[in-house]
Order: sequence, then structure tokens, then C-alpha cells
Amino acid sequence: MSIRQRLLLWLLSAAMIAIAITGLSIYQRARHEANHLFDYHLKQIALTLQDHVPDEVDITGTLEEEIDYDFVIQVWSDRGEKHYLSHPHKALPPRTEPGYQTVRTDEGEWRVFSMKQNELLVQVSQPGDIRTQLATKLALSTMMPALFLLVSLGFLIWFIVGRGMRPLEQLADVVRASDANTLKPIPPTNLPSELKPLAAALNDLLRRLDHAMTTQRDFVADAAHELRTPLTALQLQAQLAERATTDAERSVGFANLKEGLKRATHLVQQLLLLARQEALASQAPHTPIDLSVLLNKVIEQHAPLAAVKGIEWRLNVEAAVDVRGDEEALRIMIGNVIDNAVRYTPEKGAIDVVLKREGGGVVLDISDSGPGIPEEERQRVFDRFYRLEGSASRGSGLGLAIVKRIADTHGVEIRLSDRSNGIGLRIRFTFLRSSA
Amino acid sequence: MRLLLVEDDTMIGESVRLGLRQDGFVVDWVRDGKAAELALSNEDYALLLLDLGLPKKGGLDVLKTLRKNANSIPILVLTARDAIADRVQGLDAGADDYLVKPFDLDELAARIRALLRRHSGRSETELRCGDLILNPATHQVFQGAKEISLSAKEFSVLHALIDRPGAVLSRVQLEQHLYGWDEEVESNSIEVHIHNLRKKLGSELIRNVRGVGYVVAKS
Repeated sequence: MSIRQRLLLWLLSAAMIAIAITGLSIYQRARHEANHLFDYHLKQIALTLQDHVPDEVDITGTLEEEIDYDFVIQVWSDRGEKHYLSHPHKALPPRTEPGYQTVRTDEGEWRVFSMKQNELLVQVSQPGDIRTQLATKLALSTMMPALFLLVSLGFLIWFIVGRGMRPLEQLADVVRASDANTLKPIPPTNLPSELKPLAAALNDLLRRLDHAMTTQRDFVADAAHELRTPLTALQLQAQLAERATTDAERSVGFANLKEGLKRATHLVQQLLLLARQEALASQAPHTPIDLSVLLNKVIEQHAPLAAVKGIEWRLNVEAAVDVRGDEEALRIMIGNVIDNAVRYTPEKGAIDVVLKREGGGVVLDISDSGPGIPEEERQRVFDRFYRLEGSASRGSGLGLAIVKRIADTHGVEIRLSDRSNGIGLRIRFTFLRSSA
Repeated sequence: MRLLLVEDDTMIGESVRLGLRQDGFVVDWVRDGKAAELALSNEDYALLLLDLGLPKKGGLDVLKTLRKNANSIPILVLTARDAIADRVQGLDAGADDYLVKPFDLDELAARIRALLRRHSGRSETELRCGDLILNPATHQVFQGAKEISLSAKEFSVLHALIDRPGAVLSRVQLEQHLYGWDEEVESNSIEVHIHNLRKKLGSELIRNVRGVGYVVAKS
């Protein structure tokens, strides 16, 4: 049901009730007034007969105008003999004491006025239903304009509500006409104050949507751009493998091609991982996780490669350190950092891992003895596809962006610093929301 | 022909160098803009292959600096940026041609040859000198109707000389055409190649200018 129909229904119902109540009180008032008037009439008729008690004379003619009102005049003698009857009725009220009376007969109620005159008792009566009819007629005639008012009120309400709704329709038109690709805010000018909060809320939503879409578009553009590099390498490597004329050349060609494929696959995986983190960030349930167990699992995963490079692990990990989070996400976050540490630490280097409770939170330090990150680049390394200038091994440029993303959704602070001896990089995670 | 490749990605750089070498080019490879400028100031290159997204000094900046210094070396830009605005910007900054990644090795070689041809003011694809015809794309040499079989190095020496008829090229200049940085220059190799060429093509074609170098006469 539209607001217009609803308003019409409610307003008309209210008007109807108001008119009905008014009508009822008018009816009662009219009845009351009519009773007074008719009583007065009864008395007047009785009084006019005072000096002129009819004998056998037919007085109906003189009282012609009273016929409609069905006044019945009866005169009794002192002895109780009926002296006069104006006109017959099926059932007539009996002789009553002087004054006003309401008498019940087979024909219904009668209103009676009697008075003594010399030796006679003059009684004037009127049937009750005539009085009711007349009062109702009176009341209804007063009500007729009110019914007319109700109908015209209906039309007026329909029209006025329609007019009142016009800004809403205009707003809908503006929203309908707005381009899904530009998401321009709705101009707040000319809007009634009731619609301003709606427009503001819509604009806020549009702004957030626009931001999300821009981010997404940038991400897709960046991703497409970044994919070109491994794809270019793949195309060239495939062509070289194709050109190879000797078995030795061919096997080198295919080995290079496989390396290229590995790199492209890694980039695609990281892209998917990041996209998934951005999509699922708010959905994954956070459960209590023992960080020390998770940390040991991640280190175990990276141990073989570290062993090849002769890297020494120096672990200082407290047991049973609980945090809340999405286990898979935290595994990826710590895994990426450990992976970087193993990758950038030179042969025979060392990686320090410290996990401890501190204050109300938990602190995880991962330090490597690699080349480190210059101070001025420490903020930018978290940007997607940002790579350190001149870094020898070319990664996807997404690893730390993923780490940052996961840390943000877990309320984890990240700080990059030099290691205490100035060589290498230390990444410190501070879990503020500790469940312990 | 000796080219300078500026590309920061190891895999792409290695593949391009290897592929172009198979096409008979000598390729020196650097990974950033500063190293490119250093190489250009030290050596004489026939053409520059330039990636735009470079560390230290971006490709566009290298391009602008070169053109500002009135260096007219042909430049082929290799880049992942394929928006029209990017291409226009690259060409307006002084690039001669633009190849978007991923690209094909054969197309790259063809574009390099086209640029070299245009740069030397020729429009035909083959080089001629008297009855000698040299085709850089197919690496074939004809003397009259007869095809002459040459080794890759012999072809390169002949190509360098025929490319600028009348100009005397020293042994060092010819060596620069033949060997990249990472290749060992064999002593006396130029003399050996010239000797072989004279044997195959006749002794009148390549003249020895004593103490200076070698020259192919303008026909």
C-alpha cells in the first residue's frame, strides 16, 4: 500500500469517526430540543382548550397543522366518562394524573400532558416514535453537509498528499538517473528537511560505495598491470624454448619456462589471497588461538628452506599465548613475514622470533639479518605492488599488503624497525585484543 | 648491431637478451635508469630498448634527458603501460616506437630492424652495395644471384661496414658491434673475419685503411 493510500485511509477514517461522534451528539441534542418543543406544544394545545372545551364540535379542522404531529386530545368528565376524543388510535393512553407523563401502551410509548379544567380533565398525547422520527430527521439534515464534507475531504487529502509526496518522487528520479559508474552525491538543495537525512545517508552510502569501487578498480588495474610482467617473461621463455635447436638449449629453455610459471602462479595466488582477505575480513569468526602453537607450525613449514641456507633460528616463545582471531588469516600473516625473513636473510644468517605477553596484550617480534628496509620506505612497503628499489629477489609485491590487511582486521599493530644491532629488519606485531 | 637493453625484471631481461642474440644482435643489459645513462655515455649503441618502470631513474626521465642532450639514438620503449595516454606520453617524450608487454620476440626483432633502417635513412629492407645484397632479417647475403654463406660474426662485420658505406670503422668499433660486455673478445678476431669475408666475397669489397680501420666503398 502506498503512503498516499495509507494516509488517505487513515485521515478519512479519523474524519469519519470525528463526524460520527459529532453526529451522535447533534442527534441527541436535536432529540432533547425536539422533546422540549413538543412538550411545550402539548401544554399549549391543552391551554388553548382551557376556555373552549369542545363539546361535540369537531375541532380537528382548527388543529389541522397539528395533524402531522399526531396530537390526540381526550377529555374526561369528573366522573370519569369520556367526554371527547379528537381522533381514534388503536391504543390510546389511559386517563392520567395532571402534568407530564410518559405512558406505555400496545402502540408504544406516548407522551402525555393533562390538566384539570372545571370539571373536566383535558389530556393531550403524542406517540413517542413520531418524536423520535422528527428528531432523527432533524439530526440527519444537519449531518448531510458533513457527509459532503467527508467526500470532498477525501479528494483534498488525495491531492494534498500527492503534492506533499512530490519531493520524494523527485529524489527517486535523481537517484534513478544517477550513473552507477560515477556515483555522484545527490545535491542537497531544494530538499525538504524530512528528506535531508535520507539524502545525507544515501550520499554517505554512495561515498563509501564509490570508495570501495575505486579501490576495487585500482586493484584490478594494478593486478592486470602486474600480471603483464610474469606473462611477458613466460611468452619470451616459451618462444626461446621453441627456438631451441639442441637438447641442452631446450632443457635450459624449459627450466626457465617453469621458473616463469612458478612466479606467475605465485603472483596469482597472492592476488587471490588478498582478494579473499578483503572480502572475508568481516565474516570469518574469531576464535581463541594459541599463538605459540601456530607460530611453531609456521616455522616448521619454512624450516627446510632455511636449513638449505644454513639459517639459524633463535626462538624465545612463551607457551600458551592465546589471542582471538581467524586462524587461517593469522597463519598467512605470520607465514608471509617468516617467508620474507627466510628469503632476505643471507646464508648462515639468523632469524630471531620472540613471543611474549606484555601489558594486556601479546607481542610477537620477528627479526632477520637481511638488508632491512630504509626508514623512509617503511610506510610504503605495505602498499600493494610496492617493491623496494633494487631488491634482488622480485616478489609479488603483495606479501606485506596482505599482512597489513589481516593485521588491520584483527586489531593488530605492526611496527617496522631496525634490529637492535642495526642490521636487518624487525617486525613487531602487537595484539591489543588479547583474550588472556 | 649493438643494442642497450634497460629492463629491471631478471627473467624478461635474460630472455630478451638471449632471443635478440639469436637474431644476430649484440645486447648489453642494465637494470636501472642510472646504469643506462652510464652505459650510454661510455659506449656507442645502435639502439636503446627501454622499459619505463625502472628503479632509480624512470624510463621517461631517461628518455627526456637523452633527447634534451640532443642524443638521436633510436629508442624502442617496452612497457606494460598500454593506455593510449601512456603511449602518447612516451612517444612525445622522444620514443621512436612503443611495444606493449607481453610482446613477441620476432616482432621485437622486426621493429628493431625497422627502426635501424629508418634511422639510417633507408626505406628498403635490404642493404645493397654493388652487386652485393644483405638482408638483416633473414641473415642472407647474395652476390648477384649466388647466396654466400657467412658465419654470424662475419655477417655482423659485413653488416656494420655496409650500413655506413664510405665510413672507416676501426677494429675497436667493429669489436663493439660484435661483442657485448659479458663476451670475451678474441684477439685478432676482426682480422680473421675480414680475411674470411675477402675470401668469400672477393678482395676489392673491403678496403684496409692502414692504421685506421676498414671501409666499404660507396657504390
